[in-house]
Amino acid sequence: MLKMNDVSKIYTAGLIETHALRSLSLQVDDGEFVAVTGPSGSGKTTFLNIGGLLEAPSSGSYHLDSVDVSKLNDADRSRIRNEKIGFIFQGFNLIPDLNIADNVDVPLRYRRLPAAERKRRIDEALELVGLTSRKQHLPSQLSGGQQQRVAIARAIAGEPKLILADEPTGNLDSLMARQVMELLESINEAGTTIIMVTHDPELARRAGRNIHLLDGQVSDFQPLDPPPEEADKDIADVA
Amino acid sequence: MEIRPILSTLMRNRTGAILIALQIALTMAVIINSVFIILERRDTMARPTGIDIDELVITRVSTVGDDLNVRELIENDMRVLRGIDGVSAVTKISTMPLSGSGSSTSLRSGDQQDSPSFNIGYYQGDRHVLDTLGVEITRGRWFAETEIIYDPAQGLDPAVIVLADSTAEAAFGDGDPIGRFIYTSTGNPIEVIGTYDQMSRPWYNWGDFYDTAIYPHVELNYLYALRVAPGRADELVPTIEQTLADVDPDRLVGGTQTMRSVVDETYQRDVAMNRMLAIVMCLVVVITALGIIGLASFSVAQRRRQIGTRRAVGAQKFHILRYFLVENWLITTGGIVLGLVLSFVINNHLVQTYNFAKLDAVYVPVVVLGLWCVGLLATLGPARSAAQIDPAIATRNV
Amino acid sequence: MLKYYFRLAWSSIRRNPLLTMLMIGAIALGIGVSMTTLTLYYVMSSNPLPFKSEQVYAVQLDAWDPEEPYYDDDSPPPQLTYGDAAAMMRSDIPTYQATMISRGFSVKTDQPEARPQRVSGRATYGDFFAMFDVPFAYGTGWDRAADDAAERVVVLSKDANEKFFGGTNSVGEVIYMDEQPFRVVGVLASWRPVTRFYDLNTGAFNDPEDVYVPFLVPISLEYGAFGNTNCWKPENIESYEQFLQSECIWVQHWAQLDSAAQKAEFLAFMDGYAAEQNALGRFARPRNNRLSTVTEWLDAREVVSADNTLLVVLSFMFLLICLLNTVGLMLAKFINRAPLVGVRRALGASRLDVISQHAVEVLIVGIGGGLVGLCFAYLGLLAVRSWYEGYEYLAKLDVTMMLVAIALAISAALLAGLYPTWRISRIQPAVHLKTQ
Repeated sequence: MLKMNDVSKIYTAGLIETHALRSLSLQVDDGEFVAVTGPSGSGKTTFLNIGGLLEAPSSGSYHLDSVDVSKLNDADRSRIRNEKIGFIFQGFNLIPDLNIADNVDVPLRYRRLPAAERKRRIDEALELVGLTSRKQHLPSQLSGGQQQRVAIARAIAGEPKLILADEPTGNLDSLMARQVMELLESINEAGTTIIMVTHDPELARRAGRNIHLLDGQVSDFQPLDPPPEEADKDIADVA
Repeated sequence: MEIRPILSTLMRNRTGAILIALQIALTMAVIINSVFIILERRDTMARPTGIDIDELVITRVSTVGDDLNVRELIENDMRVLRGIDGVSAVTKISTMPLSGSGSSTSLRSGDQQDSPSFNIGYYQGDRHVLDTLGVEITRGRWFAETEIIYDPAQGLDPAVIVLADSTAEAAFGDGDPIGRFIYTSTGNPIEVIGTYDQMSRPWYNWGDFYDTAIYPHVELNYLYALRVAPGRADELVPTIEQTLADVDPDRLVGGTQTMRSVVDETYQRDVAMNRMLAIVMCLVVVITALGIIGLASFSVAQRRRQIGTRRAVGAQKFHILRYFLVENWLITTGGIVLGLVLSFVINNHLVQTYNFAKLDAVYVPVVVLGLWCVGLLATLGPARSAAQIDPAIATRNV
Repeated sequence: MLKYYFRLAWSSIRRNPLLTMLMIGAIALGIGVSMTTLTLYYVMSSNPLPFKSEQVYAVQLDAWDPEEPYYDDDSPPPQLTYGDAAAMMRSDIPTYQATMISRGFSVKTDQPEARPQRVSGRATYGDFFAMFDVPFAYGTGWDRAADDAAERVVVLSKDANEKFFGGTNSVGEVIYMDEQPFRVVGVLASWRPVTRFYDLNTGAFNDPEDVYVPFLVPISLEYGAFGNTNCWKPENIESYEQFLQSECIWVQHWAQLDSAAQKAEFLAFMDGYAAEQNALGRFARPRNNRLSTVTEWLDAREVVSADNTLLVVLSFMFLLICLLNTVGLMLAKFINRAPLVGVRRALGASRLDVISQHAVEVLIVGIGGGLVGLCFAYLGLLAVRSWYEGYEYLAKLDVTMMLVAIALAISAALLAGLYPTWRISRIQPAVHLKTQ
């Protein structure tokens, strides 16, 4: 699904160079649920930005779905983001002026889908997250957990192959966090690859695999690697 | 005070500052050039004509026919007009100051071909010109009844003339002009018998505005000028027209109007120009002020957290207020400097291409002061709302 | 997709109605002010004889003072002496030509009760009507024989015919002008060139005259002209005959020359005449005879005053200020929205999508500004009409100017939106996604 080889990212601000990623190489297979962990400044967000084609790497190669995407221009990157990737943010990032259905509609619009097809996908996505009755509401009328579920609906409405989630439960209380997590897990079970950045070891443990970043590189040391049975049990409980 | 850090912040967020400074510069150029033209036109319009504009009404009769007794007709008209209640004096005169039509000629102060010549606008009229118009004799005497020539032959030069003081000075310098002669272009001598203080030319844009003279000639198609009681000019216009028309229904009477309206028509274009310039000027100030308010509010909104942090580390409200006012003052001043250059470039072009007058630098400080005030007043609102920002914002939801 | 952009623009406008109103207001004011001055300028400088722009010429001969040119820039005088104009009339080179002066008359009709009324008149040759494409409602002008015989015939304007004959076909009727009987031979249809280009002495923007008579009629009555009579030479003028022979200039002369060859031939005729006269001691100035097209003539005589030009310049500076203002406001509005644009970018909006979305919003502001600006321009012209007498025909918005106003507003708005739109399309989506 995703294969990075020797990827580096250097930010320059004036004379200061910051190496956010240093020769990062990793691979995520189709259908995996990967948690990316690491302390602040370890390069988690940069990894997500590059993985989500929001930024281009300074060097190295990046294949997404067997396509080399590291040399694409802005328009093509936009198209791939739209078609293959779904984003879920810590701050939800819903558009406050648009109602729930219109928010879910945003990526579909940019794919220029016909109206009937868009409507079908919106309905399906909202049904999956259990918010069909809130279609006409504005984001501000929803709780944090509901907003994040809208964001998830928006991410899956485009039927992406890869979902990138950045601290998806960071702004939520534990109950809501669990609901969101369960949702992600069911989406993953349906076949969508999920990469989730988190600093919460509890969540990381529920993922199929953990990648730990340190100073812009994959660290071999996995501080909180849970026993596999435990994780399986958790998932079994949810199901 | 902390001008250097403000400047360095400005340099890092240039766009807004540049937009405001450009607006100020253009505003300045528009205002300076407009104010200058407005004041210049106002001066032009404020020039005295030498006559009592508000107490005069003019009217015109055309009489067609052969072998008319011109003098008798005129005297009869004047008798009737003098009989109107509120009319105190009447004169027959070729034209009026600022009316836009009249005659001018060149005269010489000596009888030689190379004697210095000077241009005058001249009026022709009867004995009552000065009393009716309210012009004072300053030296010598006015025409005697016997000197007035009714229906003069074409091209006849007068034997005697009365000059305006400024014409006398143009002809003879400081010397006494009474009894001396001036000469027509064909060399005919005219005796100067008197001078009057002031009466302007019929055309408002002619140089030597006050170089005029009066000939003792009367023709039938001249107009009548009537002196009326103060404040009654407008009201008497229809009465005068009707009374004159009733003298002989076969004659055409028309063009009866107050002297004030004649002058207003003459200056109509300038008045309208001044109005348009004034409106543009006001709109420019309003738009620029709104622009400053808009961008200052935006910049406050962008810097809420930064302001909160400043407050949190001990800045008083007054410091925040001062920060924004100083920042705006710096931008405004930058715009003003640019505007000064632009103003003079535009004026220079006007002077060279259209013969406008050269910009007088005395208006500049006033306009600069005004623009500073506009800038500060427009920033005051957003700056005050910046000062109200809660210091706690610095620590809130990171 | 365009519909979607319109929906987004509309919701954005609704979100900040005050800011949007401010932007529309700024553009509208700029358009209103500049269209007011531009309309005046455009109408004043428009060609009053557009279909004959290369055929009809003002005839100028320079028989002025050898010591001093008439104009500082050495242009020949705007009028001719009576004698020079008569000499021009003797040439048969022009297709049409006419000497003319302005002169008022006192008119009475046959009605016994009628009081005399003042009319403005033009004394000219019969060619006047054909040369200037003057339309007739009834009858025609007069022929060269009537010109030569100074026949007492008259052509009435539409308004004069309305006034004296109630608008009926008055051809054949008689009116008394200055107590002389004149037979009506023609009545004009409505004719109102914006500039009275053929005689700029008595108000360039006044109505054309009420009555038209053969040129030699007022001459035979020993009339002078209404308008300017300028003399440079010290001459004893003691009779009308001497006045006609003097160096005073007081008549206008126009000619229609259909081809370049005809024009060259007539100019050669003019120069030949000047050379002939030079031998007799006249035309002592360097040869400076001229044929000017209507447009050249109006330009040289500065019919559009410096004031008008200045107002146009100042009002466009004002428009520029309004634009800078709009740039600032739009930039503020767009930048404020950067996080949302970041989200859209992350969800797959391309740069072009972002640009289109904002361009549509800018377009709406531009159209709004143009429409409101048209209203402002209308009010402005209303004001101008109330400030100037006789500007009814000048201060008028025609379809062209309305389209210009809208186009100007839209291009102004697009120009103002260019930078903000570019800026917002260049934002780094990643920067704005992290924090709320």
